[in-house]
Amino acid sequence: MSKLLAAKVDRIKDYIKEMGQLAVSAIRDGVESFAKLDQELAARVVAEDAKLDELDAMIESECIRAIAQFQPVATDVRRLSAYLKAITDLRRIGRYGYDTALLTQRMKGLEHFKRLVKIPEMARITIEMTQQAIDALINEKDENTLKSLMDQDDVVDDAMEELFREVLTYAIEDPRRITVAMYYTLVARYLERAEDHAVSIGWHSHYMLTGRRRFR
Amino acid sequence: MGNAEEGVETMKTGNALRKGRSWLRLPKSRREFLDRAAYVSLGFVAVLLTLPFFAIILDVIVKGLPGLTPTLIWESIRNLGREGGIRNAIVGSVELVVIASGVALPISIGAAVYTTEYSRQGRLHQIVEFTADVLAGVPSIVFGAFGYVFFVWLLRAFTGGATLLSGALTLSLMMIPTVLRTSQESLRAVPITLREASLALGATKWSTTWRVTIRACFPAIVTGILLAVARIAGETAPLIWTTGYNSDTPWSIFDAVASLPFTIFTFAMHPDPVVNAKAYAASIVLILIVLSVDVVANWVSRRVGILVRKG
Amino acid sequence: MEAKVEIKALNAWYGDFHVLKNINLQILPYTVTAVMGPSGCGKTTLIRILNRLCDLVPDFHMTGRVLVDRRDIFDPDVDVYQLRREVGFVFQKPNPFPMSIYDNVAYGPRTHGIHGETQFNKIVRRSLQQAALWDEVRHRLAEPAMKLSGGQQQRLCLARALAVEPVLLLMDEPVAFLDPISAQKIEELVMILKKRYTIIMVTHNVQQALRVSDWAAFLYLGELVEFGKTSSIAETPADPRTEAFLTGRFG
Repeated sequence: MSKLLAAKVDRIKDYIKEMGQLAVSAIRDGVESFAKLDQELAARVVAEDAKLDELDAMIESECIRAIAQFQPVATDVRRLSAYLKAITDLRRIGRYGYDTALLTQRMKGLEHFKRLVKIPEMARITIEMTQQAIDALINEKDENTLKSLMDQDDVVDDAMEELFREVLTYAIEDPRRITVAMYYTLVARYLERAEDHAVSIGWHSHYMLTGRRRFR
Repeated sequence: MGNAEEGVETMKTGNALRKGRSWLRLPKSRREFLDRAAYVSLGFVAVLLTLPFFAIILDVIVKGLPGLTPTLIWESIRNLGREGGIRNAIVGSVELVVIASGVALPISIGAAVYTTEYSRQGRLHQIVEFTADVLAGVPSIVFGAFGYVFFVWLLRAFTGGATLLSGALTLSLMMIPTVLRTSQESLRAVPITLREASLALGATKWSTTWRVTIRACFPAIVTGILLAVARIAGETAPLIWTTGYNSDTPWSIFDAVASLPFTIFTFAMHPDPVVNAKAYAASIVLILIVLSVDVVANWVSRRVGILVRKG
Repeated sequence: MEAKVEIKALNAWYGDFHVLKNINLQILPYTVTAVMGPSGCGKTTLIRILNRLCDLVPDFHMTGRVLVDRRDIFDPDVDVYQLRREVGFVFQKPNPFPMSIYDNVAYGPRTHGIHGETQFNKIVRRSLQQAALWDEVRHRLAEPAMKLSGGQQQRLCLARALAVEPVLLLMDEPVAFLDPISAQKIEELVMILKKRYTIIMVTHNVQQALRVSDWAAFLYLGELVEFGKTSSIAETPADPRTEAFLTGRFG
């Protein structure tokens, strides 16, 4: 691609990295605030969410301008298309962190009935998947990223199933736990959706590199 | 910017832009002196160049105008020039030019078309160009001598000796190199893309050559022809030994013929001053004829050239 | 659908220079095919073979077969003048004849034996209409063609080619010398013309090729590197050389 377009793409990549970091922080801090019932942290997560909207709009605008200005084709246009779709996924990932923080706020006055194990683990995997997906998108290397993401997707899906059953057991034992139990399932659901979006980013990367929308 | 304003100031007060006779001002530097000197001396040379032209024209007009009477044009020569006019010479010149052209033009233009459109850069091509270039530089007296030996003597059975035919053929030899070369250059100047356009429409080579290529450079070819005509109209040397003498207009090409340049020559050499005066008058006629052909050539080349070149 | 043009195992040389290497190509009727590639890749040579203009070049020779409407155009029985009527050509630099607009358009038909003023009038009108030039020049058909603007001259050349009713229209970088607005007009014309003619267009301009064509052929150093539907090549070219060319890594 031309040097001008390359310069523009580099700028867009920087913004995407920034947006990725924000999304990842939202998940990390949102889950941490939930685990520790840290209201201050939750409040911060809620406040930071607006930045994700801003970045989303800005990156979209930059991509559209690049398309209008350069009329790119082949890899160049696939790349920009991938970015446009990836930022939607990143926006959702960050949103789920925000949603988790909202749940923390709802937990005010409530307490956990067990030590959280699966949720932090799911969060860890989700964060790792997101970072992996963004790396692949920015650095444009395949290296079986998609396969790896799909495997981790399965792990998280399984974890969510297990958590659901476990929490159900606790709730049946003591009906007073039902509210908190439902919050646990919600958080697990958010994390599962978030990592689905990370996989989606992986698919966009794949399309960018190969032009195919199916695997291999 | 400050500099620009200063510059404007300087220009306002400086010498260079004062209106009027800048060349009268003293030069401010050695460079300017040389520049001015060159300008002046070149101008001087240019003026000098035109002096002979004006000198000749004036001389001829002054001495010839009195003799320029209708009789001169209308009547033929009588009494070896002491009486009568030069009608036979005028008509004779026209006949010579027409027949010479009639012979030279098809040959030259045909050869030009062949060498530029049809033949490859081969031997024949080079030979034709080389001989044409050489012939173009041969002095006219040599043509006259050759014409005498070849047409008047060697081919006397065919030409009848010193006749209109011999003279015309000699003149045509002089025309051929000029017309050939100018036609070649004109044809070559036509962009290849025009020929390609014609061929791409399914036209044959000949059709293309005739309807596009020649047509595109037609004014240039015509100009070349007219210039060649103007040249031979005024030639004397080729005609001296090849045309013979005729006090009237010949009715057959196998008769002798009088011509303007030759007549002027003989009148000028004549002991009788009355006849000498007629030479000047005849000169005016010849100059006028040649000049008008040149003017027409110029007009043709410019007028139609605009149509062709525009765009 | 039957191919309009089939090129089979075409190899061509200018003297010792191997300009086209084993080209195999099929052009479908009523489509626009763009032939692209960097300078010197052989694209102009390729289309000049299709109307046998290559015959004019002294040390040109080739092997392989070229079929138009299933007939071998190099067959000794073929009337090359008739072939050139059926295969129209528009050149890179507009080259109208130094004649009137009318005579330019009538030149082709006249060459091929059409006569009669009514006939010519009809043909001239129809051809100029197809080239979207009629309205601009209908009142000045007798004016010299050279007075027209560049864009108009090129449309005139197009009308001239269409006047002999070709089936295949070849265009060699037709807008290379035109301003953007004229260029756009001609591109729009091409989109309309393809309903009646099969068009092959050589172009340097990637954007134009992608805009205008249905099929795209990419030539590099005499080889046909890739040939396919324009839209899919624009999204995902199969060959890295095509990719490099499209993304401007070499011009």
